[in-house]
Amino acid sequence: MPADPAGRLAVLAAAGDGAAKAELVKRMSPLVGRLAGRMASARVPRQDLEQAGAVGVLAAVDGFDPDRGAAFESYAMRYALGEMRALARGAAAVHVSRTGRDLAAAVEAAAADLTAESGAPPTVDEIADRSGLDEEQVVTGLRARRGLAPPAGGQDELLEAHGGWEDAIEQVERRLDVGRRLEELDPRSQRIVAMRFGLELSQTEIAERLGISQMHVSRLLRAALEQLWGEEE
Amino acid sequence: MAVIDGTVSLRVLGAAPAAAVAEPVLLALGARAGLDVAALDELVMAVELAIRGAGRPLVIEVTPDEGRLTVAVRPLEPEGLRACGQALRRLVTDVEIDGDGAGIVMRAG
Repeated sequence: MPADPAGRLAVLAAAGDGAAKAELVKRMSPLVGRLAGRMASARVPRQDLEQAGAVGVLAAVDGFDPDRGAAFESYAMRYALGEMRALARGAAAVHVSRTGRDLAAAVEAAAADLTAESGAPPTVDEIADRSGLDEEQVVTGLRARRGLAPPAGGQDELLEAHGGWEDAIEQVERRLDVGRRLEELDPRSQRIVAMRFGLELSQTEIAERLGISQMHVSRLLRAALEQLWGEEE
Repeated sequence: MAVIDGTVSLRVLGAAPAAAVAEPVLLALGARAGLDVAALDELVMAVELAIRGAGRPLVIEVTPDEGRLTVAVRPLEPEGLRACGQALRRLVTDVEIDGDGAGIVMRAG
């Protein structure tokens, strides 16, 4: 168990402890708030940045490995900053309201818990039962989540270990008939596409291998597909 | 938008507006058909891929059934469909490409 309190909460949160997740977001809020205060502008309100930062903190939980010796606070700040920067530079595909981001965070937390428990992605009804939201709110949260840009941090972790995907690049180029365009993607996107379409792993299987949430994988995959096919538009 | 015999029919001009209009319909009807969040997500990705580059008015018909959602889209750019057809087949349960249209099926489980 890590020595730092935030690290201990992150370990518990990663194991599905909802109270630890809430406590972790609360504990990180002064740091996130200070960063949000510096980045806030008339176009991007501080409260919106704080919400984006909280989503980043929760995303960091999945990939945090206490054995690497890094404190959770510094590790999570990269994710929080990534979400906040994406928001600030308008990288989100659509404008996501504060309510939408709240719902996205609640849906993502419930989905991560349920997936950890059952090993399979949950349905909207299951998320509604777990989170206390109604079906419409869960769908709104799912839409808002899809509109958020993938966290900018965590690329190094995604590129470490779990070999075998490099060999899948050639398979993907052949199967998807994309020629050499795959090699033009950034390494993180290459890896996600290779695992999904080359190794033919499901999003949940990829999430398990990389130690991140299915919803995190979803955002990465969507961004990768946009890079892969976007040039044709 | 029209609803006939349980099928929701959308008529939208252009790929970007079509994706924006179709997304909430796909998520809501897919949820009611019992699709899990990963399946919902990949279904929306598949439809977004299929309609990219479309410049003419698109008709998107979404039909929910127990444990299954079927999406028919027409007209699509044949060259674009050919290029992404293999990706579509790996994202969803079944894809039928018929001339300038596509039928996309996602099943639960």
